[in-house]
Amino acid sequence: MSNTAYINNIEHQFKDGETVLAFVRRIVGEKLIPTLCDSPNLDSFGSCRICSVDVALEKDGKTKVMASCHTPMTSGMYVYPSTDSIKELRKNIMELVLTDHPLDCLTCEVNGNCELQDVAAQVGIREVRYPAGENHLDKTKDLSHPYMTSDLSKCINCYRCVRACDEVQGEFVLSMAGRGFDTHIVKGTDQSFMDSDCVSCGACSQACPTSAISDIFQSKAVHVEETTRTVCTYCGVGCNLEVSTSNGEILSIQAPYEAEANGGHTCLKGRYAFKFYNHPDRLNSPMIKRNGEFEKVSWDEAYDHIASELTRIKSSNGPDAIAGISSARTPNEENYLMQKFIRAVVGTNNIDCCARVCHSPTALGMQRSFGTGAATNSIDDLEFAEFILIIGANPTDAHPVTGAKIKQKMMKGTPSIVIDPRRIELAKYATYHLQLKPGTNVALLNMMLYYIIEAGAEDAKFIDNRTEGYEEMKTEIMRLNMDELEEITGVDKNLVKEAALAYAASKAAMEFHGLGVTEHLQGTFTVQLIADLVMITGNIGIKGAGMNPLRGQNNVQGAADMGAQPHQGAGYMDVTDPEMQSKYNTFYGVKDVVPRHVGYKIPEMFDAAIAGDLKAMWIIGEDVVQTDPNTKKVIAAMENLELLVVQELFMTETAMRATVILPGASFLEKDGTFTNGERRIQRVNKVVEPIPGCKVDGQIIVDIMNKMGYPQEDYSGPGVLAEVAGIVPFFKGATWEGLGDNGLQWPVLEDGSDTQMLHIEEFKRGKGKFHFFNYEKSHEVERHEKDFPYIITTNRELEHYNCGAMTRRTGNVEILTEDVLLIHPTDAIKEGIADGEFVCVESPRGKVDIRALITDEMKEGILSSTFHFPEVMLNIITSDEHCSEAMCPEYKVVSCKIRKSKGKAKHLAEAQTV
Amino acid sequence: MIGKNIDGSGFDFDFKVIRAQGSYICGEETALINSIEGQRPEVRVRPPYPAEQGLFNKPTIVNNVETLSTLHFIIEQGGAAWKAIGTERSSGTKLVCLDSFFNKPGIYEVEMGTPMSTVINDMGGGFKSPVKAMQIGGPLGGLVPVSKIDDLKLDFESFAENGFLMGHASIICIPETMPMIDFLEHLFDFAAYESCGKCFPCRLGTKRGHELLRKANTSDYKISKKLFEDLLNTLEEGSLCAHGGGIPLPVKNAMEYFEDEMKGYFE
Repeated sequence: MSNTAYINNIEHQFKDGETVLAFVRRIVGEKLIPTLCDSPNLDSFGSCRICSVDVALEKDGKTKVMASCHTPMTSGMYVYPSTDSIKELRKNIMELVLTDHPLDCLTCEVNGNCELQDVAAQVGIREVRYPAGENHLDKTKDLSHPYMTSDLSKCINCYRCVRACDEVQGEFVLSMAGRGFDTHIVKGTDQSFMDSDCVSCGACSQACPTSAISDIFQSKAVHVEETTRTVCTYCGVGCNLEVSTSNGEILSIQAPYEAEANGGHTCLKGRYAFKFYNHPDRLNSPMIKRNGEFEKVSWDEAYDHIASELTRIKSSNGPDAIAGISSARTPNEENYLMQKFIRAVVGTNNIDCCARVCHSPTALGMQRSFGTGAATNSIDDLEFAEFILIIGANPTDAHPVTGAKIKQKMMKGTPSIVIDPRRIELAKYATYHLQLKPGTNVALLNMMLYYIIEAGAEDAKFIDNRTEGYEEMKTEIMRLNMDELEEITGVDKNLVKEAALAYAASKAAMEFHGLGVTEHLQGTFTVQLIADLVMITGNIGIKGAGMNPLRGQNNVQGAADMGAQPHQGAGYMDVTDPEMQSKYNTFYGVKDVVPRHVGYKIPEMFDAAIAGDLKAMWIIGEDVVQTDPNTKKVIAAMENLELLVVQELFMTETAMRATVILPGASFLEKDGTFTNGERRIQRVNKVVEPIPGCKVDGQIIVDIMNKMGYPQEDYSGPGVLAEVAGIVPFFKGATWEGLGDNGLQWPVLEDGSDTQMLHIEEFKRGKGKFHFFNYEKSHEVERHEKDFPYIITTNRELEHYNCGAMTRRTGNVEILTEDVLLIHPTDAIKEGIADGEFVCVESPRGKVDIRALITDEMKEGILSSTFHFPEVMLNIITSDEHCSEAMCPEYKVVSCKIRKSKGKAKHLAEAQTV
Repeated sequence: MIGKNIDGSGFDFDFKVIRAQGSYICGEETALINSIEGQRPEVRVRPPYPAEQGLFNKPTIVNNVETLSTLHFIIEQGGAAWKAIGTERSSGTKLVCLDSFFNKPGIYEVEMGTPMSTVINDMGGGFKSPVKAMQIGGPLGGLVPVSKIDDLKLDFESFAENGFLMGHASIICIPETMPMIDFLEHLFDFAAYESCGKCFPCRLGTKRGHELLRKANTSDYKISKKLFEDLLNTLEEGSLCAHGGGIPLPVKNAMEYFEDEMKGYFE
């Protein structure tokens, strides 16, 4: 069959699977065929019929009217897209639409940017000939929600919102009710937006061709002067955003349809939670703490103070008495500069970033197994995945756009395993939910390996050709007693077996994991065992497979890539290797300044500060007091420092304890690049100028470098990127221009070509390495389970991001107002706790009061909560136990006991008195 | 022959009867499939056709009960025997329902190709009271004036040649005493009520058609002929399924054969 077809009798070639609409648009242009119900990220639906065209099977033959959006091209088709009768038909349909539409365009929110208006103009409608009839013009507006709005009198029943809710987000909040002319959109069970289960992703608002569904930012209105494409500052999905501005003020955000990272979708954080950027709470002047009070000072005074203090401490205590924590929320270029400052100006490897408290075990574990500590595949690969394995990640809350894609796959029948102590949203759609006890990942993965080996379901060819260490691992695994492990994990071994064999039987199984893997005593080992599982089944180096950590912060991949870690410099080169040390010193133009011993990891910094060895810290955009474990200890460390420089947007719990505060700039106010969880280096473009009094963080670092005698050019995204490309091997071909709108996935080769998938022919380290690790009980539980019988495991909620410094200063806080304690009904009854009551949760470190939410998402004996709110300060109870290899804190396994609270917020006073 | 491993053949067959809730649109196969799935009975786009992706996205055959009822004969006597009944292109028999205006109302199994006069006068025993037209083949079927009875045979070809539609072939009579505009108003009302509401032409067009006719019927409003023609064409050409697409046929028949009666309502 040829792919020849004709438009107005002129021969063209169509693509396989192309619809008539797509074909005509590709050949003739977007405008020729108008549409109303069609949308770039939705399946064709065929409701508006505006896209109808004449189709004949022979030249000038008998034509038939067909809706072009859902008619596939076939060989020899003659398409006549705009005959007189077709034009008449479109006009007549539009006339019918306008019989039930308020013709108040001049006062309408979307006047000038309304698809209905455009199509009406295009078809040339001049009058509505029908006499006044029944209509829906009296529908009232829904303004119940902090973001979403509706005015269904403007609805044309194109179903785009309903389909967006179904097909893009998978939430099924919007649907149609009524029949015939009475057909109308309802939210939930005919509720308001606020009362419905809406997750505020805004997909419906973006999809709506009129103003029937919109948002409080009126994101489709045309009072926009400029739009700037940039990248979201929240999670590691790296959604591209199109930010509309007027008079230097941000009006609204939409998701560009052609963005490779997010294809026209984003979540309520990316789309709506931007109003923090000019919130009155923004810090707007450098401040120095004198006599316990912050005093506003000039930038010069702050710099002088910092430079003299650092010089003093360096000369009296040596450079290792100074440490820096860089921010994974800031661009690569700023991370690079920060580590450069610490290494080449201060002269220490005491530099780390929040990867320490999240995916440091992933980086280390994957480096050990494969040679590269980053996602092996691209998120787009989901399209090809035939099986999905999710371990310790809750993507629909923490990585919503990827979560929605996974959920869509699962709902459409892709078999899957979810390994999680909580029955998270995806567990409800998964084929297998292995609801293990927190801290038993190693035991569970060993069971899976055992059953795969026992059944002979391993990929022998892959193991032979691509790996090493298999036999040693196998010998150890086969010695394990499955009954014991069943007891340890609390998961039925037959279920584990069935799940493991299903995973092994799949041709392309895609793995995702999150902090439920890493934030454990055996975090790194768990990562290495996942690598075993991936390799034993040959699920790597192929489309739709691989091992894919869901990175937390927008640029946590980049922060580590740039060398914001104490053992490896920019580009992951070993700082203890003399050759690398010399390479760094030469590149930075210094002589023997960058030392050859590994620096402090974050938890070691706190220990050193308490011990008096560490005198000064510089922290950028990281609220360690609220988010690092064992709050009292972190506070003690902060308070023991002689100099604590905090570069921040807001007066966080950490900033309060600073000796110098430097007001930085948000992602909307600077240039640079973020690297998302699939290694995609994407351009962050400045949308607005920093608010008065603030500086771009990169420039602050440059200023202090210059102040301390190191010549560094003024900050610019493109300029620093060029410097980075000179030292980081996998950034070699990355240029500002070359990155374009959609970025490039590293390694970016010298010729500018990028890499969608790693380890295709061979692993970075040559052969993939199998490891064996036996299960070791969490020390926390071992030590404290007798007196503290419950385990609390920390999690994240969709509406808030980490310490919440940003999201709590947006409308999100109206949607989710506080941290809550998830507790199983049986435990609640046992402890006499009613839903909504305050519970006192006590661990060996301290106690917090928190409101109970009774849910069977939890297992008995297991609790869960978030630490988004300083009112709770949940990390008062978490421990400083950590991964034995990477020192990632064990946030996921905390022993505690609970009782009904005797008084809310007592904990705050207690925390302050330590 | 139902159940597991029928007669040792290794073939399993089971069935379930699902009671419909009375929505006319569920006569449309994809709306029916949606309804069985527990969704709104809305018409799906084709392709994919139900035979590729139907109920729960599995290949599905949708047949009328009437079709299934012929299986017994065909299995017992063979396809050739079935094909020998009726005409060359309309083989077999048709179940025809005659309404209460007939002297002998009821359901008749009639060999295809039988003259309609035989069906109406011999089987049905003629009309009880004067009838001016019949709607044959359901609400989307053509409106056949009694003067055309002798031109028609009970087969697809004959109906198509005469500008009608055999449809399910059952006959509803329109008595002499009923104004044609009342019938058309009722027809549009029915079409609007039973529209699934998915496609614009049908959802809006059937409603506006009903309003136009009602307004003309109850006031001195005169319908623009051009507007009415445009509406009928929009429904016929633009609708997603045969519901909106089929309504214009009886309306056009009425306009043609009862022009004298109808013209007073138009400009």
